[in-house]
Order: sequence, then structure tokens, then C-alpha cells
Amino acid sequence: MPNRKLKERHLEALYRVTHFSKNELEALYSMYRRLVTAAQAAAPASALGHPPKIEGIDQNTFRDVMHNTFDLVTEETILERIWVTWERGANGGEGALKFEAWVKGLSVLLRGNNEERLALCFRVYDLNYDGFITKDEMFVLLKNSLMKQPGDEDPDEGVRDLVELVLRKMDIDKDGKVSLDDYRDAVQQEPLLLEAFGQCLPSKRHVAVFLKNLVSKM
Amino acid sequence: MAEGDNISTFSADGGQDTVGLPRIVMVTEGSDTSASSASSTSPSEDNWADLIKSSEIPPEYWHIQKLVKYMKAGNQTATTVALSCLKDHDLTVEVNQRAIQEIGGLELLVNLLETRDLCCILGGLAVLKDITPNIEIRKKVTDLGAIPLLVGLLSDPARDVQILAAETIANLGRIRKSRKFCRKFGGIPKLIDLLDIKERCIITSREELNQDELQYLDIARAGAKALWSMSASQRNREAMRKYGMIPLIAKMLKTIHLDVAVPTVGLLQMCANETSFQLAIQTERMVNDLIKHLANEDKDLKTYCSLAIYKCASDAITRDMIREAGGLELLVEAAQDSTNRPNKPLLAAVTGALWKCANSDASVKKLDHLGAVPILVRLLDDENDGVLTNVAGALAECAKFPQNRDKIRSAGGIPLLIHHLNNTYKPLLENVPLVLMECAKEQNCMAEIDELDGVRLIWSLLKNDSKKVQTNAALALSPCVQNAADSGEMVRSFVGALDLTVDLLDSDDNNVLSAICAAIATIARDHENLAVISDHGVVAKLSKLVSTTDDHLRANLGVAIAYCCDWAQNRQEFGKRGAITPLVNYMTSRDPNVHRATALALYHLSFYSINCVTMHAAGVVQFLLETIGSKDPILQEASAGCLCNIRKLALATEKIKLKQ
Repeated sequence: MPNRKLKERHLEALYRVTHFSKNELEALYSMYRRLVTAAQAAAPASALGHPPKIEGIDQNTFRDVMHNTFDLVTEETILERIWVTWERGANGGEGALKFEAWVKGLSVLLRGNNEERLALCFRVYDLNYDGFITKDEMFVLLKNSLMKQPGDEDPDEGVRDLVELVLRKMDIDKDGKVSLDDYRDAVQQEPLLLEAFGQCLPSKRHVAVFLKNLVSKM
Repeated sequence: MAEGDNISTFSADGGQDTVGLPRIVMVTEGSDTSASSASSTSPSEDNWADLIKSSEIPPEYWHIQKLVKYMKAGNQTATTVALSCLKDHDLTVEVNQRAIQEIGGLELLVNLLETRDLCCILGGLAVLKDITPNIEIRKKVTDLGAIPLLVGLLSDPARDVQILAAETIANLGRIRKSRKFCRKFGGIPKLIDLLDIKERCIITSREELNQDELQYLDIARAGAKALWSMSASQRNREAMRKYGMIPLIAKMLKTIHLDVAVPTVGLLQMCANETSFQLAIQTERMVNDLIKHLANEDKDLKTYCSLAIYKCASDAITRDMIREAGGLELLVEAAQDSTNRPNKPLLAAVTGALWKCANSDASVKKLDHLGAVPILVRLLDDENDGVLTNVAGALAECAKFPQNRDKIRSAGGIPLLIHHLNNTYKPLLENVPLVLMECAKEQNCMAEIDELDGVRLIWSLLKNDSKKVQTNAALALSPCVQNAADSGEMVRSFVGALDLTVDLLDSDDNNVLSAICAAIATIARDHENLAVISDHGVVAKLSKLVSTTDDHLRANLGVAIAYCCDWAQNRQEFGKRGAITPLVNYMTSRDPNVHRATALALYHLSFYSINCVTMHAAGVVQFLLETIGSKDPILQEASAGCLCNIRKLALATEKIKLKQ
């Protein structure tokens, strides 16, 4: 498989909008091509005889990378949400990720500044995209976070209570729901709350290791 | 505050992802000699039991317990949420700490330290840091095996984790077991590594440092706090030296940040209990930085600096460095500052430092220049025994110089000093006689001491069971007896004093014996008193001591024997008791004081002819022929006198032979 290189103007454009260096971008492109090729080879044949063309990072590949490369072990719901809210640009939310979208997303995930990471987490948690995290959305996200105790009359009582507590902590403007501004203020006061509804960011340790290996393999 | 007293009365690999399952690990001590303190129900336990019964427990208590239950039953997400809610409570309050403890929260928190989740670790550490000042919790957390986990976290790449882990270790280090475990699990070198930051961070103000550098500074501060806590154990101090902490402390001492300076100097003064560190303060040129910090307004920092100086000023070169860096001015200023009076640890530390620094002539000169003596005398009315001890010690050093004796008197020091002779605090009783000893050499002072019944009080100190007190009291007696008016009468008026003195010749401590012999030598100049002590068997007791090899004792013993000869059959008795031959042997010593004392004794003994024969047989003449040429006038005279008596006897014997 010919190792295609990024066109110079693409490289330049991406360099400006992401947090990666040009070396890293080229390494990421190689990795992207490897992943797509592998996915294509592994794709099962459809009823029509030949496998569908995979034109980018599809959800399976995405899940593999999150699990194996970044050790992001999190709830299925969350992983799904991250996929859905990934930088899609013109595509609008379906289909595979082309390189540009892929790399922009990685930039936030691995090297995002505080505001970018904040926005990413918020988007993941805001299930209906209305700009607010509501009590119901919190409940959905935290539903499985407590072990069911035998003898619990109402197994969801704990979760509901937890939701109340979190809402009280994060609802700074006291309007019953958490806006992006609320969220930002709350996280500033208590950094632990950034991933309060589920882990969406890989650990710094794994990120550091990944980036180090990325460039050294070149 | 005596020597050795201390005023400042301080890898694991992760792998478990199952958060919230309690696990109890009992950590046992090895067969070491250290014993942990016995645990008994403290008063606080009883209060707590009453409180529970009275059901006046605030709702916060239950709320906290609920949060801990969620942490137990929850995954990482729920745990993180619960932790952030937990942090909202004031966890330094005992009720809240108990809440966590009694629902099994401690096991949970220690467990969190083993997870790989950064949020859980950070949250867990933050809570632990706040609750570990509670002594019960400290013990339980240590028993649960927290120390090896915390030591492991010191190497974590996340700097927040390092800082919180070190600060928690600092809290736990207040119990001995934790300090031992920290050492055994390799914590000391790791903590020392935290101190290794760029000098720029240390000497630049916080506004000019970038984010990274600020964090490194905080890491170093946390490391210093933890090491300070750990340094309460002697073996840890030794380990710190071995792992190369000294140059790093010297570097950190240059800091301009108060919050970093306090733990650094605190650590340094604890370590200065070891002579290796005392020397290092000198060789690594730390004195100048110490003095700079001494000038700081902050009282705690001043206290620790003074303590460090107190501990390292036993070396003369260090004393010079302290003086040259302006340390004495600052110490005197602090002693004079009346706002410092209520701050006893500070005052004791400052006066202690002055005491040890005054051991150099040049320093006393400087202190005189600064008017230190009246300032010190003013402190003699303090309520704190530690302060008084140090002030007395300092005055004793100053009073070695004649001009200061009258200064003490005119500042009203004598009555205060004599008043303190009634105190029971032994270190104080060691120092006060030394001041009076010097003052007694000055006429006006002696008169005042006498007037205030000081000599009797000093004498009664001979009954004290501390050897050092006995020694110093006896030392003070010599000048008192020598210079008091009507000294003989005075001594006789103290009922039982002479008997007491002679009885102390049975002591097994050479310092006591030397001092008593010196006193006896002075007492014996009065004939009536010599009669009394002879009656009490002083000759027998002195004779028993002659076999000693201690030069200091020999010197004083010789003089005592000399002056005890001049009564009744005393010199004959000395001879009969076999004191002569060992005395002659003293001449082989190299100490000139011993020679002088021995010559004196032999001279006085030689007025009895049989003694001359004994001396001659013991080979005294060869020694005397040497010492007769000595430049020491007393030695010369005594040697000549003794030889003269021996000669006279020889001549007389010759004459008798010729007649026959």
C-alpha cells in the first residue's frame, strides 16, 4: 500500500488549527492510513459480495483506538456520545471520520486547553444538544454508577440523590439546569468535576506515552 | 531547655480498578527496639461516647456518611462526584472526621490511593490531607498501610499528586510508626528528590514565576514539610544525611518565600540535633542565610532560626560566623522586644542561642557592646523555666568577665538569681550557681549574695539528686567561702553544711568529687572548720580517692589534701592511710595543674618526718628537682619547700648517726 503523504497545504492548514507539530501531524496521518487499511481488510463481506468501502475511521476503529491505545475504559453510553459529538464538520454526525475531523478531535482529546476540554465534556453530557445538562440527562448518565445493594427498596434512590447533589454543586445560576457557564464556573472551583458524569478524556499518562511513541516511530 | 530538649513539642504500583471495596491491612512492626505509645481511652473518646448518647449529632455527620456509602457502592464516576461533595465540608472539624472514620471511610480512602484513576487519587488525597491532623485517624490510616502507598505516589508524574501525598505524609509523620515506615519503604530519598528544583524558583518572587515553576516551588515546599515531620526520628535524620539532603537544604535556605523558609529552617534545626549537621551548617556556609531569615518579622521563623543557632553554636568557628553575620545584634534585639515576652518558645530559643554563642570571648565583647547583660537580667523575672535556664546560662558566660559582674548587680540580678535557687527545675539549678560563682568574685556582689542568704541556699543544693547540680553548686561554694565576710562564722552557721559536704566525697561522679575537693580546700583554710571536717572523717575519705587516674580530680584532690594537713594528726593520718605513694605518682601526669596540686600536697605533708621518708622512698626527689625550675611560682615554691623539708630530715638523720 503506497504510503501517501499529506499534501503540504493540508498540513499547513491543520497545523494552524490543531495543537500538533508538523512531525506529529505526519505521524498521525500514517497512523490514520494504517487504521483505515486494516479496517478495510477486516470488513466482512456484505450480501452483495464485496465489502463496503470504508473511507475513514468508523465507529469500530474508533472504539478500538479509545480502548487499546488510550486506555479509555468508560461506560458504553459515554463512548457512544463521544463518537456522536466528534468533530464532524460538513458530515453532520454520521459515517466515518475523515482525517481532518479525526485529527481535530484528537487535538482536543489529547492536548486540548482547558476551554476546549470543557466544551468537549459538556457536549458529551448534553444529550439533547439544547445547551443545558438537565436532571434527567444526569440521571441517564449516572444510572449505572452505583452498585445495586440487595435489600434496596428503590435501587435508583441513590442515583437520584447523587444527581441532586451534583446539580446543587454545579447549578451556579440556580435555574435548575447546568449551562456551559455554570459548568465552567463549577469546574474552576473544583477541578474534579470536569468529568463528573463519566470519563471522556484519556489519562495524561497515556497521552504522554502515546505522543512520545508516535514521533519516535517516524 | 537543656541539651537535647526540643521546644517544637512533629511503590506501590497501582492496579486495582475496583473502587470502593474496603480492605483492611494490619501492618505489624518488626522486632525493633522502638515501642509505640500505649493506647488508652483518651478523654476525647469519653466525650464522644457521651455526645453520641445525647444524640446531638449534627445532620452534617449523616450527610458525610451517606457520601462515603456512595463511594463504597459507586464506580469511579460516582466516587469522584461524592469526593467533590465531601470536600465541601469542613473536614478539619472533629465531628466530620469521626463521621468518615466510623462508617469505614478510612479503609476506602486508603484503597483509593491504589487505583489508577487520577481523579480518585487526587480527591482521596485531598480528603486525607484534611483529616490526618486528627490523632486517632492518623494512627488508623497508618495501620491501614497508607504509608507505602503514599511513598509510591511521590513518584507519580502528576505534580498535584506529589504535593498532596507529601503533605499527607507530613501529617502522618507525627506518630513514630509512620516515620519508621516511611524510612523502611524508601520514602526518604524520594522526599529529598522533591527538594531538587532550580535555584531560579527559589530566589524569584512568585509574580515572576511561570505556572510550571510555581508548581515546582510548591512541590519543594511540600517535600520540606514532610521531611521536617520525618526528622523527629534520629534514624531518619541519619538517612537524610546519607541520601545527600544537606546540599539541597543549603540551596533551599536561600529562598525568599516565607512559606518555604519556615519548613526548611524547621527541618534544619531538627537535624541540627546531629553533630554531622552542625558541622555542615558551617562547611556549607549556611550561617549567612540563617541570619538573614533570623531578621524576618515572622515569629515562627525566628524561633526555628534561633533553635538552629542554639544547636550549632557549640563549635567555635560557627560562633565566629554567627557573630560576623550580625547574629548577635538580632538575637539581642529579639530578647529586648517586649512583644516577644508572651511567646515562650521564641524567647527560650533566642536566649538559648545567646547562651551558646556567648561561649566565645569576642562574642561576649560584642554582647557587652550591645548592652546585653541588663537586657538578660530583665528576663530573670520570667515564668518559663526554659527561658530562665537559658538566661542564667548566658549570664554565667558573661559573668566570666569581671566588668559584667557589677552590671548584673546594678541591674538587680542578684536577688532574682537567688530567688531561683528555690526552683526545682534541674537545668535551671545547674546554671544559676555558675552565675553566682562568678559574681562572688566581686566584692559588692558577694556582699549582696551574703545579705540575701544566697550561700546557704547554694549549699543546700548539694542535697539535690542531680550530679550536675551538685557539681555546679560545689563549684560556686569556693569563691563564696573565699570572699564572704566572716566566712568561717558564716559556714559554721549553716547547720549540717560541713557534714553534707564531706559526705559527698562518697559520690561516684568525678565531676562532683573535683568540685567538692575544691570547696574543701577553701573551707579548710579556716581552722575551726577544718577541725569540724576532720572530725567528720575528711582525711579518710580524701585518702580513699587518691587512686584516681582522672587528672581533673587529681588536681583538686591535691589542693584539698594540702590544706587539710594543718590540723592535729591529719598529716600523719594521710601517711598512715597510704596517700603518699599514689600522690608521688601523680607527678608522672602531663597536666601542669596536677603537678602544682601534687607539689602543694607533698609540701604540706612533708612537715611530718615519716611522710618524708615515704615520699623519698617513692622516688619523689627526681620529680621535684625538675619542677623546682618551673615558671609557675606556686609549683616552684611548693617543690622547693618540700625538698627543703626532706633535706632537713636527711641532715637530722645524718647528725644522729654521727653521734652514735
